[in-house]
Amino acid sequence: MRMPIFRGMKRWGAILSALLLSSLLLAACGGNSPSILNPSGPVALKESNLFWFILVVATIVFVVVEGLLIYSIVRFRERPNSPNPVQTHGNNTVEIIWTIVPSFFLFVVLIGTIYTMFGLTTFSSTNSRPLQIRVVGHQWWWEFDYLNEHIVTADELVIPVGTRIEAQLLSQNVIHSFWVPELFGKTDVVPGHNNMSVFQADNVGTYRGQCTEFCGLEHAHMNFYVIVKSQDDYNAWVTSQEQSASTTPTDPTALAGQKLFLGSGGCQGCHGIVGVNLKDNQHLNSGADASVLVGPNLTHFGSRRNIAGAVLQWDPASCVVVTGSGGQPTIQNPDACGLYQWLKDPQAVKPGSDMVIRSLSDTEIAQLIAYLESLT
Amino acid sequence: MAEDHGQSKNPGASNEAVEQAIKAKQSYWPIVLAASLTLTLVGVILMSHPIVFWVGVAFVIVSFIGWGIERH
Amino acid sequence: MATRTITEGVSIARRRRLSETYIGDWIMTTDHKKIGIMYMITAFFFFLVGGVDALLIRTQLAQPNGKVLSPDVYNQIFTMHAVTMIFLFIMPMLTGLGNYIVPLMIGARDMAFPRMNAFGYWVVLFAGLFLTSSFLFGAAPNAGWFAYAPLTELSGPGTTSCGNAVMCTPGPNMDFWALGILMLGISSISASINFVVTILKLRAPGMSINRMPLFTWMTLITAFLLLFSLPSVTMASILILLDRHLGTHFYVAGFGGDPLLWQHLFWSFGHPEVYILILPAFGIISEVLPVFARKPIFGYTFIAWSGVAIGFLSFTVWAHHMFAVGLPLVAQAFFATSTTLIAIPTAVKIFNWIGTIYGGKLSFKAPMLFALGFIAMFLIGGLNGAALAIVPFDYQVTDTYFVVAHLHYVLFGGSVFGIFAGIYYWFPKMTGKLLNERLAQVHFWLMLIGLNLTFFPMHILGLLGMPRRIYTYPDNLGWNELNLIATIGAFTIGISILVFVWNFVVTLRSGQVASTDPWNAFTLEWDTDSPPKPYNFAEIPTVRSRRPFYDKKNPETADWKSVTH
Repeated sequence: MRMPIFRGMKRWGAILSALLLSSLLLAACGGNSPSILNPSGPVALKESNLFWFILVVATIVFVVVEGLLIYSIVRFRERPNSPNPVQTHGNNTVEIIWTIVPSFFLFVVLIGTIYTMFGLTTFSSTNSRPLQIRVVGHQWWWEFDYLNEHIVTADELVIPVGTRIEAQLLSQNVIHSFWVPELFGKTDVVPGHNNMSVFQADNVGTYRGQCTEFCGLEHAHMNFYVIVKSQDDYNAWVTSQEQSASTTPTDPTALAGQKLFLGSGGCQGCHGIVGVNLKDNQHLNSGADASVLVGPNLTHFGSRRNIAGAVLQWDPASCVVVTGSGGQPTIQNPDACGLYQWLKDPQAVKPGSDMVIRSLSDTEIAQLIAYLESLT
Repeated sequence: MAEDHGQSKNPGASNEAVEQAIKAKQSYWPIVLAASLTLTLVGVILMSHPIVFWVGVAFVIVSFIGWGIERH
Repeated sequence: MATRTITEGVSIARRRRLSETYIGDWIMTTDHKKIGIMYMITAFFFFLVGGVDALLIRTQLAQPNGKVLSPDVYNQIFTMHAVTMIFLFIMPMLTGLGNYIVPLMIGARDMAFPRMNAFGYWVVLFAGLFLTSSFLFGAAPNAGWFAYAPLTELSGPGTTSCGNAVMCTPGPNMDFWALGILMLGISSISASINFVVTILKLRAPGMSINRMPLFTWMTLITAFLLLFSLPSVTMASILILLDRHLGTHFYVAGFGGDPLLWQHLFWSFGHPEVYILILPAFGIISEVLPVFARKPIFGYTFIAWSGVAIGFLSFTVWAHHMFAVGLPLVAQAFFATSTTLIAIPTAVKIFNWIGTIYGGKLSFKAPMLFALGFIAMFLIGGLNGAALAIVPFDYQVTDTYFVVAHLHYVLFGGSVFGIFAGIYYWFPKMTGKLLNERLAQVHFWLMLIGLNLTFFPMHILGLLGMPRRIYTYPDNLGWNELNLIATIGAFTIGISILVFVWNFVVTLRSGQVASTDPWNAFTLEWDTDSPPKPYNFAEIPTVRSRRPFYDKKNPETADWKSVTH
């Protein structure tokens, strides 16, 4: 019985394949996407080259085999006078050939795979000294410890361009995975294991990173950014980050904010500011002094733009502190200020996160924002 | 089972007898054992009331025995 | 249902025994055909449940910053979608089909252990209800279907309870998971033992092992896979229950335990499991293609042996699910090699199937449509799977939507299409009615288009950096359109399923009556009534080739006259 619908099948097939393939090309123009096909470092470059090679091979195999399939369907469909087919049971020669030939190709690819694997972290760097970072996965944010520079930050990993980065991956809770698609493939962060991610960024810029191992309620909101600076900019950044925060901010609103920070039930219960409630970043020491942070270190919060697992962004321009009608400080445009939204109701932004705080008035939020802004 | 060759050489009258002879015997032990097992494992969740678990275990044992001694 | 003669006594004025009522008959049955039907109906019900889970997921992800599902509910839904589809749909459906068809195919009167057969089914039903009932308590499993430790631990080391967020998954959610897995494992083990003994001991005279149908071969291999892989996950589940409730620390670092122990144990089951899900579908395709191409399967021996090879090799590849966890490079290279090896028998089968239709006389009835769709879609799944074996590429795309694309092409484009091919093929044998061809075509095309609309964009989403298992995504990452397309595709699949359900219901009520051999098929199950008598065969046939029914219908050109098997 002829199925009339098959008359259009070739056209359908062509349209569908064209749609699918063109959508693939769209991918290359990923635009804002953290695309693995926009490599900005040697590791991602090797991995992305591998993809293009795979794509070519897979497309050829697909076209050939699918083509054979469609050809057979069309050529051998039953027609009113078609005779009974020859009852072939098989052909040993053909079957051996089509086992050996693909095997050969598969093994060539395997050798390429293994060769690339073992050479993945072999690349040249403009900077002769590698940078040692410790990456700690929390639920649900990323802590970055610069072991030699004694700096602790969160949400943003600042690195110099052209420098080999050796990132030690630690977790004291569940498994996470450390991934920046444009720079390197992921490595899991496994409690009890000392996994290492080695990579390098060859271009200045900002790259999105994500947790890629399901780690609980807010796994979707455990993102971060890698900010790649020129060597000079990076050195300047390190110098400023190594300073302690001042114990008395000059601005009165900021001072009030610091009081809130230090007050009973205040932020210092979970957050540390070196020079204010922390002598130094003791937890970077190994041994008895090491302790796990509850909340991100805020010593230089003012220099960061991403908060809460990069769920929200903020900057001074969108979080302007003004004097409100009652003479009290307030935020000019709260809806545009990510930091306001976070402090106003963190559980609404990221339900289940550890940031469980009492309700803060707009005045208190403005004071805190003024203080945090000052922590540059 | 595979030896039941020439059974239906006489269709018609003795078909029903043949059906009876060859048809698999019914039994309630499979569902009873399955239910007992479920009860036992539900009892693990409800360990704050261990009685559920132990009743389940008892039923499982009874089911094993019943199954074992059933004529089949 | 067979008629029964009341042979005891003359008086009919007494209460019927439970076993004589309609319900009682089904509850107490040990007939492989009835049990097969119960398996399949139950499995289809859970297919719909899992499908609703999928539609909920896709609705939440259709747009960025979706607010359809809270993160807690989303995590339960995506976990249960996989658990339901794998353990409560595909496995029981394939077991049910096997249960019904395999004894008929090999010329037996029933399975070797009829009561254990029934037991296996009831456990699936109860386990399925148990697992799904967890939703009613708001505590459905929520740590992913592969349930990585230590997320599944009840509390972090040194703490007695979970804080607002810290370290673990409070609540009985993962207890439901572990217990459900244990129950289903017991069911699968009993079914597997039954299949192994039945297939090895109850074949009709003359049916040597290399004359039995390929569906039987694949079912046999699957049964062995289950028997050898289930102990791993059984152990893993028991250990996590011990960790959760008795204070052990098998998976907790800092107490001497290791989270990776879970992964090794789980994937030692999990990888053979995916072959358990696909091999019977390979078998179905190998039955359907020859019948609708009017010639024998091309390369029976190669297909059978490649199944065996896949069976053995499937135990050597498990850590390809773990390339990113930090295993030594040499170990990763080993698993890359074993994964490459296992691609070979899988690829060969595709060529054999194309060789079957090549030179044939193809009729595109419903079973054939799905069989051909299977080949087309499984090829894609095989190609993106082979890509995942290329380790450095895997580092980029593992745990992203690229993997979601792969697994759905092989499980949906593969197993589900294979299952529908089997349903359309054997439905007339089981019910005596033929499913409507027009509706079947609508079902097929909608499902094929839906499948590709849903899952092809996911390849790209993975390349664009979208991780798995996220309940929402931001507006500005370029993922919006592709997610929307995937959602439209998912609803298209949903509509195609409704078409099938409609076809099923209408056919049972007033469908076209089928002869005993509507497809002019080759194997023994067709040499019976539709539906078969309770005793299957009046006379157990003697078999002289791989196509005994073909031989019987075509004595001049019988296989045994031209080939020696």
